[in-house]
Amino acid sequence: MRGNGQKVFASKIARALVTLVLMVTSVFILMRCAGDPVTVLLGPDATPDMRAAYTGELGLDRPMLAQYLAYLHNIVRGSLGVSYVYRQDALGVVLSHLSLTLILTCSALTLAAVTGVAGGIAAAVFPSSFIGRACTIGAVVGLCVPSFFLAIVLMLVFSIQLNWLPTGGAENWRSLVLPAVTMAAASSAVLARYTRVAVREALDSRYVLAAFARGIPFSRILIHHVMPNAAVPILTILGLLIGGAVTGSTVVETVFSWPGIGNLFITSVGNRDIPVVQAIVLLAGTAMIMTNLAVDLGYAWLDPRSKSSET
Amino acid sequence: MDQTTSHALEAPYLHTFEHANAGCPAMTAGGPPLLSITGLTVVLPDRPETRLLDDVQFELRKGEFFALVGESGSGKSVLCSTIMGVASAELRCLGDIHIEGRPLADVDRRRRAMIYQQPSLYLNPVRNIGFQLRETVQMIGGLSKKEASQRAADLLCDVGIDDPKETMRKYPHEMSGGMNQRVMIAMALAMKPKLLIADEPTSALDVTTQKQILDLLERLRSDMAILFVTHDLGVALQRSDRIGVLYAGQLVEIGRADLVARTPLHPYTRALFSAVPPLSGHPRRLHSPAGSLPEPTQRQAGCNFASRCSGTLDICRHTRPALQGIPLQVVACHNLEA
Repeated sequence: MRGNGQKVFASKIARALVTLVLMVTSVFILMRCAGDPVTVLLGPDATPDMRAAYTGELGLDRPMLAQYLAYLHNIVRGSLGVSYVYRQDALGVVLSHLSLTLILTCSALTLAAVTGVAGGIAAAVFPSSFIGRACTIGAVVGLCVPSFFLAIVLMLVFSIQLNWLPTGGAENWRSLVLPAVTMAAASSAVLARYTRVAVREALDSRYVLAAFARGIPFSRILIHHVMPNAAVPILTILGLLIGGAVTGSTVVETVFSWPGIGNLFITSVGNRDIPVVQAIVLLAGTAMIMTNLAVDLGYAWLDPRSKSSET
Repeated sequence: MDQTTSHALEAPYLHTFEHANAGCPAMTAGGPPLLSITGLTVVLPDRPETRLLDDVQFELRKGEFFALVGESGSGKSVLCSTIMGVASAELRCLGDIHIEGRPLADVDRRRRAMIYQQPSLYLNPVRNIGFQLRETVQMIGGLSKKEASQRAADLLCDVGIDDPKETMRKYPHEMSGGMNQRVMIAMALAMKPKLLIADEPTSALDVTTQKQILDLLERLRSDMAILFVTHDLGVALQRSDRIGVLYAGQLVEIGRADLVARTPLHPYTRALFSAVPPLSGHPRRLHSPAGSLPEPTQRQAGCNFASRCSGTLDICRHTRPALQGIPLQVVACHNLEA
C-alpha cells in the first residue's frame, strides 16, 4: 500500500514537471509572436541604428533556438532575465509586487471559503427554509455578475454615495475591503454551489441513513460523516480557485488600481517587457501546479480510498 | 369469519392447530408483544389513494425469527424504514407501531437496530471501522474513549472477527462484504437492541458467508426479535418461526413457517413457492405468477392479486379481503377453495 502511494506521488511530480516545461515553452513562443518589444520601447521615431543596437543588446537578433536554449538555461539557474523597463532582475520586480497580491488574494479567498462553504452547507441542510433559499439565490447572483461590474457598483455605493471606503490604491486596510469583497464574490458562489451539491449527496447517502438509524445526533453526523465525504469535491474547487487567484486578481487589481502583480502583468504586456511577463506566467503556473499537487495529497489524507488507486 | 371460510379451513389445518403450540414459543409466550403493528398504512401525502403499505398488521415476540417475503416493490423496505423511524419525510404513516407496549415515538431509538443488504454502502467510506463502531458504542453514554475501544473490540469478537484491533484500523473498502456485514451486526448489537431488522442481510454474500451470518443471527436471537426480510424462501423456511407474505403493500398471509411453505393458502404464496426450483427429485416446470405486481398508483379497490389470480371471484374485484383464519396461519383471500 505504502509503496503504491509513493509511486502515485512520483508520477504526480513527474506530471507537474512536464506541465511546467510545456508552460515555459508556450510563454516563450507566445511572447515572440506578440510583437517586437524594441518598437514599443523606443517608440516609432527610433532610427534603424538605434533599433539594431537595442535588439543586439537584448539578444533578440540571435536565432530563435539559441534564444530558447539560453532562456531555459537561465530558468534552470534561477534567473529570469532583466526587465526591459525597470532595468532590474525580472523576478525581483515581480516579487516586489507579489506581497500586495498575496494580501488581496488571501483575504478574498478566506472570505470566499468561509462564506461559500457555510452558505453551501446551509443551502443543503435547509433547502426549503429562508436561509437555504437565500444562499442558493445569492450563489446564482454571485456567479452571474461579472467582477468588473460588481466592482463599479460597490464603488458607487460605498465610496461615492456613502463615502466609507476609498475607490482605489493600497494605503491601509480600508482600501483592501472593496477589492477583496469583489474578488471573493464569484469564488464564494462557485464554492457554495459545489458545497451544496457535495453535502446534499453525502446527506442522501446510505451511510448517513444508517447513522441516523443508529440514533447518532444530526450535528455529529454533519461534522463526522457528511463533511469528510463532501470535503473532497470542495477541496478540488478550492484548489482551482487558489491556483487561479494569482492571475484572477488581474481584473480586480486593475479596476481598483491595486499595485499587485495583476496590474504589473497588464502594464508589462503593454510594454512588451518579455522577462517580466515570463516571470509572472511562470510564477502563476507554478502556483497552479503546486496547489493541484497539494490538493492531490489532500485527497489521500481525506479519502483513504484514493491511496490505493491512481486518479 | 364467515361460514364458507371456516368450512374451507376445517379439514386439513385443524390437526396442525391442536399440536402446534408447543413447537412455537412465539405464539405461547405471555406479556405484551415486543413489536406490534396495527393498521399501518403509508401513503403519499398529496395522493392518499396511493398506498405503499395497506393496513399492515402483525406482532413479534421476544426470541422470534420472523421472515418477511415478497417481491421487489411490495413495500418491504418501506415497512423496515418506517419501523426504524427513518422513512422519507415525504411519506405519511397512519396506524400504530408499538414496541414493548409503547408507541414508536416514545421508544428509545436504541431499542431497534437494522442491518442492510449491501453493508459496504451503509458504512462511511472515509472513516475507519473503529471510529464508526466506537461512535455507536458511545451512544450508550458514560464510556471513555478507551472503554469504548475495548467494548468495540469485544463486539467484533462476538460477531466472529478474530483480530478486532487490526479490523478497527481498516476502512470498509479494505474488507469483504461478509466482514462488513459482521461489522454492521456488531454496530447493531452495540445498542443492545430488542428488535433487529435485517433487510436481506445475506443476499449479496456467497453461500458460505451467508450460512455464517445466518448462524450468527440464530445465536443472537434469544435476546431479541428478528424481522428478517428476504427473497430467499429456502432461508425463510429453514430459519424462521413464522413467515409473512407481503404483496403490493398488503400482508396477504402470515403463518408458521412450515405451514406456509407446505400448505400455502393464498394463491400468491402458492405461486411464490412453486417458483422455487426443487433441489432433489425430478426437475419440473417452474411456475411464476403471470403478470406483474401492480404499481402503487394502479391498485384498485378489490384484491390486489385479482388480476393475476386463477381463482378470481366476483367479490375479489371490488372488496379487499381481510386477514382471517386460525391463529397459526392467517390469510387474506376470498376464495380459499381454489
